[in-house]
Amino acid sequence: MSGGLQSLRQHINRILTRQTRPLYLVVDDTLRLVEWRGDGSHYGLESLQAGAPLDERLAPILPIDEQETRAHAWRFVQLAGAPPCHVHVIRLDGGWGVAMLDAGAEHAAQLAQQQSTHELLLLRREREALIAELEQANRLKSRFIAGMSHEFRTPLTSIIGYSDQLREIRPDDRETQHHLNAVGRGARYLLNLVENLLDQARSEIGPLQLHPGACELAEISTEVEQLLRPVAGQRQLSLAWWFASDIPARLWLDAIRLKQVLINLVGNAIKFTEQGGVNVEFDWQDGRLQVAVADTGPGIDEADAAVIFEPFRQTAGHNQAKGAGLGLTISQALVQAMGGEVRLNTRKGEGSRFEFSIDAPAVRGGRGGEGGSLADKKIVIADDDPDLLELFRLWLSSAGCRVETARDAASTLEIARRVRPDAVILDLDLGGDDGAAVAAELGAGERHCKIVILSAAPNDPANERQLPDVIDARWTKPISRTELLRGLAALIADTG
Amino acid sequence: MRARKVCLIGDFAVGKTSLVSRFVHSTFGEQYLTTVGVKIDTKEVCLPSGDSVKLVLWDIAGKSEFAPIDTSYLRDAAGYLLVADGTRVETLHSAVELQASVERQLGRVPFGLVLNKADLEDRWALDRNRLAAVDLRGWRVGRTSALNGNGVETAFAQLGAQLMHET
Repeated sequence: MSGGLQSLRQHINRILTRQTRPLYLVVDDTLRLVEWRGDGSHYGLESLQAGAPLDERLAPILPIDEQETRAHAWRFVQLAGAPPCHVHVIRLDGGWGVAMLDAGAEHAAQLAQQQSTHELLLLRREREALIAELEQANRLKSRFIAGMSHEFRTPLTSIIGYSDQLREIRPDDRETQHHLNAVGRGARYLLNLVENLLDQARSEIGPLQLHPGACELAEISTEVEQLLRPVAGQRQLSLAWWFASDIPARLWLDAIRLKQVLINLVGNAIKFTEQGGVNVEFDWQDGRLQVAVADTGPGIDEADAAVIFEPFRQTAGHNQAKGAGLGLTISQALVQAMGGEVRLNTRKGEGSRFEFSIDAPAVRGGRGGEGGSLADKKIVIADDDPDLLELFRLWLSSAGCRVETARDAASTLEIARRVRPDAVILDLDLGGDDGAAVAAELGAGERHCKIVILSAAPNDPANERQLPDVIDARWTKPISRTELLRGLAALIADTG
Repeated sequence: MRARKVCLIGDFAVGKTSLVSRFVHSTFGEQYLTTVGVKIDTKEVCLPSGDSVKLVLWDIAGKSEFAPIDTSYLRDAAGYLLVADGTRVETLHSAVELQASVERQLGRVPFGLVLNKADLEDRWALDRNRLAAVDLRGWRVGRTSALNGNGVETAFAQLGAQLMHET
């Protein structure tokens, strides 16, 4: 066995030499070739000659500092037309030794791995950039929808307000009443549609905002019923409201939002029910209001029920399907904002039942100044829309108020200084003037009046505007005569 | 004529290899092919002064979030060209960071910054403020397109002139 190790080493050296095809170069300190062993052409170094200068591409691997004595290795060095190699450099007496070892196989494996990693990284970055671009486009779209929805509110306030006003002027003319009811219903339907669109746009920008306050459930349900009973009547459907006996008279919740949810759910139930009717049930327990809207409609199959709360979905098979397909989406988002979740119980052919419960603590005590008189109260109202200004003047005058109107900032301030009103009601957009700035000026110094903002721009992230803290109340258009007078009375009425 | 080592440094896929390919061989490959290790090439540059300088270009594998630059390749470089991709803002941040670490290793040697992919300028992610911030550093900044060759010769020639000026 003597010489076995040596034989083994020689064998391995032969294999390694075959694989790595080493090229050994010795150069002097002037970088001229002294001697070499191996195939220079394999590494792109043609016609090696003693005394010739080292290839200029390789020259930079040799340290500039001749005192450098450390051995050095360069991995995966690639000269044009040559395979990648590992290059080793050592200091010799009066020169340098350079060894080049073929690293083609190792390089190929690393290249394949690195190539796929980099391509994946590039794809990921492209995808992230695309997502960011889409999100930006979506935000712009949402702002556009929010802006357009806001533009709808002002004319709708006029339509609803003036049709209500006309109904009061001609209470005995049944035909006119019938026509005006149709106008009012259409406008309110449109308003609900706009509210849903606006909320969908808002929910994509930020969380939906709630403005809870003390309210009466009976009033909310009455308003919804007034809106939807004629629709149910036309389709010869019953619409019944059931209240548990122990519901507190007044609850703390966002009445406008609850009304919106009820209009969506009850309106949907009526729309999809062919015969029978719709029941709306209210119960209250431990500070939470429980609501159920049940119908005798066709029910919803499992596939539709799974996606029914997604935006722009319309259940299949309903030839009378209409609307934007946002009602249930928005209702779910609103109920979630109010601390609950809309749940659907349904089976095909057996009707549907939507249930939810929301935070609604009982409110103790009476209505405060709501029942007081507004007679002889001096009110200044400022709005750049002349039709709305006239409508609000009519409503306030009918309650005995002494009303002054203005359409811009300067006349509002002038009138307020002259008449020393009990309240000033301001639109936020007064033509080119800013209602918030007027409010700030009115609130500066000695206060003698209540300041109310009545705007078509809801308080949401799409319409962020810093309002001065002198404001006593903020209301949103459209507003009904009752809401306007009751809100004002709560602020300034004489309660006797 | 003395050859001078110039390193190309930047993030992966910013176009370092394509710039060298355009500059040395007047070619451009559409397909992205990553670099492992370093590719070495040479090119002689004629300067306005009438002098010539031979650049030994070390095209070093780009930096990624999984692999830093192998700084051993920088040793004894006479200058360097930082390369960023105008369509990827993060590659400019990288170039700025790399410059600091290269300067720590090489000292203050001539260098330039090129914003590559100028043919895609309508898709660039570099706003005016970011570019102004680089200008404020007093760096020599060029715009290049390895695809059509615009600005490529100029970028290398300017660096070559700086190298000649320094020695």
